[in-house]
Amino acid sequence: MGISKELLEILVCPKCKNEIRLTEQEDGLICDHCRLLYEIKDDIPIMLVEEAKPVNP
Amino acid sequence: MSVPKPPDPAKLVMSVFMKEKPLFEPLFPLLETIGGPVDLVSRWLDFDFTSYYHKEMGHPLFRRILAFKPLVNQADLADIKQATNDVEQRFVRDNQRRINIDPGYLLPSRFVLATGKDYAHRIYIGKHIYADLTLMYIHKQFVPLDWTYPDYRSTDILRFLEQVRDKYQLDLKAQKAQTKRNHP
Ligand SMILES: [Zn+2]
Repeated sequence: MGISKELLEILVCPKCKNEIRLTEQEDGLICDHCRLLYEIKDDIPIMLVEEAKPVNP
Repeated sequence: MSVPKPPDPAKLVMSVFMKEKPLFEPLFPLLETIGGPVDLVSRWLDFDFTSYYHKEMGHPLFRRILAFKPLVNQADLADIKQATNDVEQRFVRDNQRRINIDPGYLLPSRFVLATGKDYAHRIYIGKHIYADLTLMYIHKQFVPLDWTYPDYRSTDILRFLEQVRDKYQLDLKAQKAQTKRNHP
């Protein structure tokens, strides 16, 4: 099913509150500002700063 | 008589609105002091459903909704509302509120808001605070009631809360499994 586009439009990065984008594999959300990846598990984005993974530049 | 059972822990949600968006930055850590780490934040949503707050808070007003990771005891809602009222007070200037904070909680079956205003459909929960049954979860979606404020009928908010509910269900399941392991 995957995460809906409408939902993406309503969520922001919990750290910097900027917009986020879906990864190509649609398995996570990336904040380009914080360079953090929020994983999506079972269609549910895990938007917790302490569980986010750094994204390589 | 049915045997009383402990209630499920609930997902804490807060709606905040203000005219000056930069106030959100100092506000955010204060809210995390009350509710713990935030795990879902909405973008800015227009708060243009009522002119009730314009005189005190100016306009246009902008809203964000936050959900907190740690689950709360439902019986703590009045305390939480008092704590957010204290935070509102910190931002008062010239006797006017600049930030409005509405805390509530979400359960699998409903969304409940805390309010200081009494009304026929509200239940007193102590400390001068009332609980408002704002939305019921029926047939896989949140449904407003006759008295639900127009803003809590908007698609953006309903969709956001449904996402919060998904995350809550996941955490609730994990928490129950943990309790079972600790108290088999
Ligand atoms: Zn960010």
